Amino acid sequence: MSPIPGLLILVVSLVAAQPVIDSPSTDQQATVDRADSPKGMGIADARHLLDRTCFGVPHQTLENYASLTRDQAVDQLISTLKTEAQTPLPEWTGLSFQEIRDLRLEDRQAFGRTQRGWQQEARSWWAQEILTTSSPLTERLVLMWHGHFTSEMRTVRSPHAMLTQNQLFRKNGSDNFADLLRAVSMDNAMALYLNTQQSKKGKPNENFARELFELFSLGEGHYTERDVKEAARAFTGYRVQGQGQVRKVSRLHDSSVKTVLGKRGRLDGLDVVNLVLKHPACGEWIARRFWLEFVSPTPDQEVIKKWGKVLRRSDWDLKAFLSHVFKSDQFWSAEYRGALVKSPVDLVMGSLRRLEISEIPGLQLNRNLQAMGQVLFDPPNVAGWPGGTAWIDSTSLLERRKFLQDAVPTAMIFATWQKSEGSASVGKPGMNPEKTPEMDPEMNPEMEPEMSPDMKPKMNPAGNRTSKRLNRRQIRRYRPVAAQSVEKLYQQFIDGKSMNEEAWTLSWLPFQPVTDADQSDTGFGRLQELILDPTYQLK
Amino acid sequence: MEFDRRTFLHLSGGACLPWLVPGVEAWAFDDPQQKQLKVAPELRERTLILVELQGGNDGLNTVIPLRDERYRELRPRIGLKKNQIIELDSKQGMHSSLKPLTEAWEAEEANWILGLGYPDPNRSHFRSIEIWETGSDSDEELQEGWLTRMLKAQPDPDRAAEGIIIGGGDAGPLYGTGLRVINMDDPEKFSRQARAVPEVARGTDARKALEHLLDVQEDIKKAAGIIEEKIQASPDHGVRFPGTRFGQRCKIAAEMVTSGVPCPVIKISIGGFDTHNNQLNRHSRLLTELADGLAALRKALIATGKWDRTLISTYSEFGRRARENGSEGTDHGTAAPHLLLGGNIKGGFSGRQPDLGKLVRDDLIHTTDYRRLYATIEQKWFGLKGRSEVSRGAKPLDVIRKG
Repeated sequence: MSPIPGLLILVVSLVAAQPVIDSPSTDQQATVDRADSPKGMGIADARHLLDRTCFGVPHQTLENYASLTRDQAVDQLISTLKTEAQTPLPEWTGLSFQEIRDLRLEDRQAFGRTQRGWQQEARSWWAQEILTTSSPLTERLVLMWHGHFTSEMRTVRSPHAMLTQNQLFRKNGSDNFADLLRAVSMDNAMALYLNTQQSKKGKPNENFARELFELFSLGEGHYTERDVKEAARAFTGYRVQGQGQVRKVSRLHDSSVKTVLGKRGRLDGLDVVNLVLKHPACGEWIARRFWLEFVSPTPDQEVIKKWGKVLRRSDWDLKAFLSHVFKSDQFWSAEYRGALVKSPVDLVMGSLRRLEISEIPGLQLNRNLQAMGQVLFDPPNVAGWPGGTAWIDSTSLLERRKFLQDAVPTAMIFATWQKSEGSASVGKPGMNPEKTPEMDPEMNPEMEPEMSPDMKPKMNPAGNRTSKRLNRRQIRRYRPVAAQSVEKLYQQFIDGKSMNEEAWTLSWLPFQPVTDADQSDTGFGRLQELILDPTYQLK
Repeated sequence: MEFDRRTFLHLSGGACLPWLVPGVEAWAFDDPQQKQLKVAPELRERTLILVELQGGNDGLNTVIPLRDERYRELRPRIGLKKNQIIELDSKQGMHSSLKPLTEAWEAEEANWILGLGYPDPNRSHFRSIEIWETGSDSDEELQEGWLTRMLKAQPDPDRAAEGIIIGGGDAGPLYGTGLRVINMDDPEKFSRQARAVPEVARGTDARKALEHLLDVQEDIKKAAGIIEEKIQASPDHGVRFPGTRFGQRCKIAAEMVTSGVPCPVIKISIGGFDTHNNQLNRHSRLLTELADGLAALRKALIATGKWDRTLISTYSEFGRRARENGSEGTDHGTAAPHLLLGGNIKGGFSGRQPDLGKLVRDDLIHTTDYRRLYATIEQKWFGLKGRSEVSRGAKPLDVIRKG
């Protein structure tokens, strides 16, 4: 369990600072347990807030949040935002541009292999950060911006550039949108992905200019084909230089007069970005993105208009805007509960975070994500992941169920083993055959997809863990212990906070399950009847 | 017993009709809406098995021009020698590793379509396979697979699914919404997993996300139910499939077809054709694996009487550069031949071999638009009216015996 340090102090100061306004709610489920904690929003609201804004949180955190009012909870949540990752970056990110170039020139084929290895490490690194970060909201935003300002590693190739862009989303993603948009326009990976790198005076490439308007800032209908052509000229001559910064190179840049979005002048790329930021459609387009991420798949135009104004009036302050969105009636509305489909990252990372499992080699996580249709750093195309119901087809649904059914218990048993004796044997392979987990080909076939030996990552950026497998004996021994911990969680929950069975259910699901629960289930069964219910796929 | 529409159909004709219509099986008449009567009979009876050669198969070392000296000039090191080629006619031969397919060739059940490709070819694996699978032009991005566009207009609730993907990979030409596509490594495992999917009584819940989820669950259960039932009554084809990965995929495909699982499209794939270096051995191994698997599949389908109702077609993102590269391999290229197999195929060649004297930067110029293959499948194989969304105006080839 990881209680939030300083939570109590914060609560006290918040309560003192502003009167507690308990927003009226028509949602029956959300009020289930309010009678017992008059000032808190209750467990159903806490789950709603944290499933949507984070990637799931441990039970204790959920309970802590449940005791806050909605507004307090939102303030608390926003105060957790960070600008840096806590997982140490892979070592090769320290190599200079020149060093990498030399490596490539030395032996192209070997470099290709090395680069593919780095790409895997980059994926593992981010997966690890999402899984273990103390600020899941930060990672949620990084992932949202990655799906908005897309770049694909399979096109960009350079894991360096992709990781740099990833840090950009962390640094600017919850601060100021204007700065974010300017930074993205001058980003190395973006220049490679949308071909500004090849665009020069006399031969402008329209790729970036078009996506800047269509996908990144305005949306269709707010610019003309002529705007695209003129803006493309403004973006000529930008080149990745030195340590990967993008600079305007005068001799390649078209400095003649252009007209973009009604403004005439010797515009360059940054001028165009600044014009975009002045356009009224920009605020609404970004507001729409937040609605889709946090509220529902069907934006309410009236609200989007208002949110767009809020965003522009705050001079693009993203923290203030997040607070506005999370405190809005729409965010909490009963109408939209369970309207969002959990992405693979939501499902995988959310489940593991909820169960406090952090010791899974990154490659396996990425295997799971890929099987469900989401590869970190490789959205399907420039429009990002379509999301919503597109996450669910017969293949991905069976993969999602397989993960919940097999991988989650496997991971729990593994974590249990690790807690009790694993730490003693790590680093001393072969010292004690009793305690060192060995590959066991005879292992339970159900475990196979999670722990097959060929998934062993060569280098794990988060440490030098290797892929371990438990043998049958260990599984037999630790399975009941792991199952017991679920039971304990349940009992604690029911007894400790005078909450009832229904509150327990709603601490996992957005609304009542659609499959019948087996009353006699305990341990893993108790967990599985919840997470295998179709409603667990929603948030 | 309640006398509903479904029961009525069974009593009034559905129960006896199937035996009056040759080739139409009883399962086709189980639908209360009788929607399936509008579905072309060929689409209900016939199966298309697509074989994706992943990585870009080297067409010029698959079907080899025998009398063109430029072949040897372009490929001094990896050009196939006489004893590595099986002569098919006076002008063309095939790679000797395809020997297991000579039986089908001699029985006139194999047709090589030569020079398939498209104008302004793209040489990226990713983009070019997208072009092939969506059926688009080179500079056009379509959101759905070409078979999705074809099958969406032909719904049939009695199918187990519109497509079964065997051995991983994405839906490819079946990509997009509106189709039921099942991904399966192993029918038993699929059925087992599907059994664990709960039955849910459907309410009138307006929550869209939940509704979609429950729809997909129903698709899975339906497909699994039909597959499980059919497989239990599956006739024994008595063929031993090769132990290779591709051989085992062919085995599952055979199981689906011989047991009569109602599903118009099956896709299987074989990887590793991206032979930039050391091509001779690698390519030979791949073609052996391919031919062994397909030959076993053919035998199994002949033994169970399904061969006439099955069309096997290969495809790949591109062919390879006509001129060999410096590392005894070939780089990404353009046009390539593809193979049709089936009991109803007219044996021989279609189209013509690209001219080795007219290369564009060492690449072949395609002679046959690849969508002529799609038009053939749509119109000649499945008996559908030709629609421009599928064939983009390309004309079908004369390669199917009846139809």
